[in-house]
Amino acid sequence: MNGLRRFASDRSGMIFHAISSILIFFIWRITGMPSPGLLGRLVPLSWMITALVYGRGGIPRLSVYLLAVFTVSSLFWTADPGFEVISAACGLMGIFPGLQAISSRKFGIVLAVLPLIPMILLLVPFTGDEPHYASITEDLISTGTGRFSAFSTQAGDPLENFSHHQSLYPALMIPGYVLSVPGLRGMNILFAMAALLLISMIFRDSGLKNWRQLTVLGFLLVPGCGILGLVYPGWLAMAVFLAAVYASIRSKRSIWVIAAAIILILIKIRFIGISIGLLAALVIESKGRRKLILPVALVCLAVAGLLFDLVILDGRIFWVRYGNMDFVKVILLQPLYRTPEILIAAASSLVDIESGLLWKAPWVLAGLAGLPLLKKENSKLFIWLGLPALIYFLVLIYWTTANWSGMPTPAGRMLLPLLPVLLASLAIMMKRKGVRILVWASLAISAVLFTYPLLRFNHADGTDALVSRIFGHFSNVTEWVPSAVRFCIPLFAGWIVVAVVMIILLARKSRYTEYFFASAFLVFCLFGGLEKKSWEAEDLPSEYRNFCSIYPDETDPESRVFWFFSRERMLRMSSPDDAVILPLPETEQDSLKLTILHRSFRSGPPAGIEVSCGEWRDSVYASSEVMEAPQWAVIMKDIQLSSRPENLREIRTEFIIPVSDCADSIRIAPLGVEGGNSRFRGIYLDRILFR
Amino acid sequence: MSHIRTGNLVFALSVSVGVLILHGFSFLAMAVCLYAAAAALIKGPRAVTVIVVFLGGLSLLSFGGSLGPLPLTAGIAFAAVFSLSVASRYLFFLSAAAVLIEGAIEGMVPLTAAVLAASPVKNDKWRAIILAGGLSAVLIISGLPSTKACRSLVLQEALSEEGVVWKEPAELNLGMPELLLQAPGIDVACMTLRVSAGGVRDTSPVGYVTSADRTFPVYPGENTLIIEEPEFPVSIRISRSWKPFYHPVVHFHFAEGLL
Repeated sequence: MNGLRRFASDRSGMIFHAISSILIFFIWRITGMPSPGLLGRLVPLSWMITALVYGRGGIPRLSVYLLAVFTVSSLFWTADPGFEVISAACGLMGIFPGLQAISSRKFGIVLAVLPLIPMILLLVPFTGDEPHYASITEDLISTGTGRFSAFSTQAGDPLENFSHHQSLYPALMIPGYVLSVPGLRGMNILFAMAALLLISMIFRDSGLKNWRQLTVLGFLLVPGCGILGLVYPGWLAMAVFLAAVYASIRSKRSIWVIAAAIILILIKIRFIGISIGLLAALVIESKGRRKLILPVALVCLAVAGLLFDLVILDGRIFWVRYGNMDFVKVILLQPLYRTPEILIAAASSLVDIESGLLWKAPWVLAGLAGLPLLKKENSKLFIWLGLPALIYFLVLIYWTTANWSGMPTPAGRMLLPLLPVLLASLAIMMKRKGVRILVWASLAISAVLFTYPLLRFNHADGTDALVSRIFGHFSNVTEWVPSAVRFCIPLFAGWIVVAVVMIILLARKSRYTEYFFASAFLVFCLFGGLEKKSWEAEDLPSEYRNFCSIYPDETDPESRVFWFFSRERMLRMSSPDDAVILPLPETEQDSLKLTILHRSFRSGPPAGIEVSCGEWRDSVYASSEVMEAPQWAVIMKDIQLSSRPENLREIRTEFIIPVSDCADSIRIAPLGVEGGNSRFRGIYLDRILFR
Repeated sequence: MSHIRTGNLVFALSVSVGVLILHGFSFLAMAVCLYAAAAALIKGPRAVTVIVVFLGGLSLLSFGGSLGPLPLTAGIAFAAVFSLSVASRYLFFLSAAAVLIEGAIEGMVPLTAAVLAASPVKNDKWRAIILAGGLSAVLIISGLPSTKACRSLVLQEALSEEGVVWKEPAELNLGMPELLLQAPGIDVACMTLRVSAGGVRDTSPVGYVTSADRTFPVYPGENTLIIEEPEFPVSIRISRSWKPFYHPVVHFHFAEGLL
């Protein structure tokens, strides 16, 4: 009896996780929550695996709270579709404190990843570039048609049968290919594990006290999260990068750093920033004559590498992809003509609702605030982790400005190389006021993205999948979040100021930090909860639309990548049956001002808009003119813009609606859209505002 | 009173003033004000306050929508167990009472009673037991709490060469029990729908497709329905109510209306 009691007392954490697993399994079924066969099993399974690997230890208090929140919120899941997401995420998040506790044990970092692996393997859709990488792996081992052969070509390939992706990374996935998608994902989980182990060893050797917990936080807090196990080369590049840093810190031998810099370029040319950063760190850290000889040797090595590629490999690594005038023009023209876009792209990496880290991983603020302290306390670590991260970031922003904000990829995937330096900085900041709140807010978002992986896929259209899913199309929240696609200077600038103030307060150890966080959050919530008075036309729910179509109809942002003025989608009204019917907002005034921003494509008779409300009606006929191409585009390709909706100038039309004569809704319909032979004919609505 | 407590109360007051200015007076607004005051008085681990503030913020974010009172109620039930301050727990009860009077959620009486009963109890295990009893009573007496707002999903129609199509797939469950198909201004001669249903342990219909006074059952498994001269809106609705171990679901795949 005493033995049993001692067992229960020693392993109370394990017993708690096992009982919670059973509890969640039954609560899911008793409340009838959706997806009982998949999510309703995977969430309890992750608790059960946590119990199995937990070993000795007490019950994490926070897990009890989160289990309680899950239990209560699961009762309300039917009351709103958003609550179903919150409830399931709380169910999973309850294991996170346990995973942190596990991390301090032997092999703890590996054990802490295990409970999440079933979710990664079974829930994450195989999309984006993943099938393309898989098809290259397939080509390397078989010449016949395989399961991924349909994905062998892709937009952006420089030549036919020549992928713009390089072959080293797909070649390393060959062992996983036999198990198909789970095998490929498994290989990437192994790459991630290698990177995590390396990061933990670097932190340990650098004297960071909580290095184990930090490493586990590292994979849970990956900006945007859920990218663990995706068939993308990010984690492999991280492993190579960290191996070089570890080798340089331990053995101080340059050869490992140079080898890693070359391998990184062979994995993907995007990682050239890390390579440059590593080599720069090597030069900075070297002493005496080496400091002069090394840069010359590295330049010679780079030239030799380019010549080797040109003469021996027929340019298959660099020249075919980047050895052309267009690429040179891009590099030269970006800073001269596209400075505002580059700056917006840089700011977007922090505040944009779709791709910004403030929204998907707010702990990054603490990481940024701690950088000066990291430099002061451990300058070697700061240089080795920080310099490659900084140069990578600058290259990314500079090179892919147009593709950067609101990318159709999990937020933060491209920022993975920034993780180690920010984590090291977080380690120093962890005890400060407000930091834990940011960390747990980030973990909450990670839990949502683990349980509903589709919510991390955005389409660079100004809406965020997660926000739309939880709050729905009727919510006013989207009016208060900054978006690079729907660019609003005051809003964007306002959120940058909020982020900077947060960073300053954290850096200064201010006692008002938590109050400021809570104020910013609650002010946002207060305004986000107001009645919606303006509508992005393309977001209008079906209730408010009679037919109409979205232009362009595909969600893939690839079709909008060469839109020069705005990459927003539009609501097209091209038939007399098309109409928008909106409820009139409540007002105490006699009249309401309705502003409609639209483009009118003329092909034949003039087209216009009619607004009607009860007996009252008014109409305006107008045609949009084609705008001139931006100067950089003209220099690049001597472009003359064609008459397409995305190239038309926007028209702003205002109507004064006498509320007393009206019904409770207004109708906006196109005029003169019949006839004409252009496939683009019609009215393209952008935004509708009531004042 | 400590500086922190005073700061919290001032903060709660600011939130309350903000709510009343921006949203005006209602019982839900009053519930939020009481909730803010109660949150300011919470004693216990910081995590409890953070969770309560987060749920309160969610409630503010969807103040006008059906989600509004739900996070508030979840926060009240949570804090009634984990807040160590009696005054705070009583304020949470008053907040629950205001939500009850506001009446946006049905079936709240047992939970409100449980919050009241748990408020004076000092032992947190007993409070947890009382709240668990309250939640169980909610399930036994009135089933899952639901909002009074009637929820239906309207699917976007599109014109095709032969008529109208509804090509976006949709999922109906107890959280979103109805789907509406509309074809404004179009006379459809014949409509074909493809739906599938499941999540139940018998073979009775999971839902119904309704067009004016005609009703077609949707059985578990794949269903293809043909409706001659449909009258719009055509509704697809789950007919099952909540029952433990049942997860009724109807998947809408496609519909086409020919002229």
